Amino acid sequence: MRPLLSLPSPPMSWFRRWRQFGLCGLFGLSSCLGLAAQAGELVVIVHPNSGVKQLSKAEVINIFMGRQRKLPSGATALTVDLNKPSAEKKNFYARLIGKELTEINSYWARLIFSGQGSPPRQAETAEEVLEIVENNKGAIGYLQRNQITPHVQIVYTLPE
Amino acid sequence: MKPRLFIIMGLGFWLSSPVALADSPLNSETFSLSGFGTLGGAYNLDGEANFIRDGIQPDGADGRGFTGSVDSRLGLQANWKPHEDFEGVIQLVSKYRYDGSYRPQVTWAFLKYAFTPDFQIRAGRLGYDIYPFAESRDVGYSYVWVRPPVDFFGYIYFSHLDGADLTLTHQLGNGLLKGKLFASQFNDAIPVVTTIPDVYTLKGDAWGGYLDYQTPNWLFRACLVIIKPETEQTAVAMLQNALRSTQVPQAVSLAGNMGFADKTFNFFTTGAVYDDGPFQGQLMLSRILTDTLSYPNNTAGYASLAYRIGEWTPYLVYSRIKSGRNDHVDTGLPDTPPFDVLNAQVGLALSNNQADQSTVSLGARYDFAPNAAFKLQVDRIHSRGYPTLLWGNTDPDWDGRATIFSATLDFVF
Repeated sequence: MRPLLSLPSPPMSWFRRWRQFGLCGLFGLSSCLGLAAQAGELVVIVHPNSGVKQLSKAEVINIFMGRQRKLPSGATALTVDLNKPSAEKKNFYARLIGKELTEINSYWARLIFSGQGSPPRQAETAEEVLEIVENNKGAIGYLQRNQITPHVQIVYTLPE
Repeated sequence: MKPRLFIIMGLGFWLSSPVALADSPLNSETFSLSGFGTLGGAYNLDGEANFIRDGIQPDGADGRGFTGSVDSRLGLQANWKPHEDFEGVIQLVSKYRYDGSYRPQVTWAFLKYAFTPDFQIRAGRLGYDIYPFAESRDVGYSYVWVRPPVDFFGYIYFSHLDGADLTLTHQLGNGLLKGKLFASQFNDAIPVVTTIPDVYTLKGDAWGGYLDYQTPNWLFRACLVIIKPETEQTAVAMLQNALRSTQVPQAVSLAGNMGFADKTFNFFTTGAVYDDGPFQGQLMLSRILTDTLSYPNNTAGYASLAYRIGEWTPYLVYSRIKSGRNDHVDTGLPDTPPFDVLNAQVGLALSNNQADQSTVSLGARYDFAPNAAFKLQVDRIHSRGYPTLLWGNTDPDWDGRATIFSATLDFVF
């Protein structure tokens, strides 16, 4: 997790501030820090020749949650996730489906241990995500907008 | 292996691998080893009935302390994925079994081939993945409850199916339509604790399928499974012989209608799951139709609500099962010696697989680490007679009410 103080403060309604304060008081500082951790604008990226220019939120959910194993172009999807529980990873799942990383682990535990599939490939760094997406036609990953290069195609921008 | 030894070994294994807790255990290398487990148990406040998690357990929480055998288990899995469209999986699970042992059992061992990303076949040993969540009922970390609702899952005896399945997925609107067909054989050992204590080798054929529709927030499923056992319970076979030997037409006819072998069990299940951020709701209903008097038709269902608040997820579950009654079937024999004993035994055998029970469960899951959770649950159970389907030995004076306290630690590695 990134240091809290070095991150820009996001716009937040009084209700969200109140709710966050309430949760901090109830469930301790770790929840509070977790809720406050922010990543910049997150984008979902694919190979420029994947044949996909845009994805809907539902399509991104279906692919990253292992429910659909292909891109709309028909290519087998190679999903790439960040291995470490970083702010980007936490925010990606929070913004995409409102889930904590422990819930994502729990979700994949069900699929893995019932032979329904493997979780996304785990990349150690943003550079590794880029390398995989740049070199595989079916690859799909996510990063902060300021981390990507012109060699990948943005297909979805996560709402902040 | 004694339950206590199993728990100590499990704890030692978990504590000796702190690295696994720090990182996500889930990876996708060509070959990977992973596992899951549950340590914990149940305390039955009322000691007049043995609380069991499912019909495979010969004994359970009987009021004499915390019983670790009900929920504790350990699973190991190896995945081999040499290519994107080809995969092999083998899984071993050690849990409390019909003979009181924790002898590991191969629960999954299959090869999967994907013809396209939307169309795949699996062949080998497959889990019972027809009921939603039944396939992962040993993986406590994958659900919020301490254990799947007993009134709904407690009489699913199949630990695995040997056969093949085909799955086809098709995008429809925002969601995905998924269909599965399977054909398989089952072979499981079930303890019989009433009538004559025995182990019933439940063997036979099972086939069926399901249809799913999944959107980002909803999952709907409808499934049908047809099961045809080919084996008979010893006690039932003895009663059938005794009835036939009387040569009274009604008794001979009853003998034919009370067996398990070559009878048909139709399992219909439908349900919906709603999952939206911190909220998870489930509603499941099942109907079992049979043509044997020894297993009357039943209807079961449960509703579960859970809401995550930070690392805590409190939940509430209501489950219910109600079966038909076959215990007053007339054998056609006079209720005088020597037939009175036979009449009584037939009545007992016919009531063995009946249930009329409801449970309210309240609990909370605490996700204290990236791959481990602690759970507490209290169940208030009301069994309205005929408790044999979902309980171990019961005291005849039991009023049918029980309170169960449970605590478990669930983890994956």
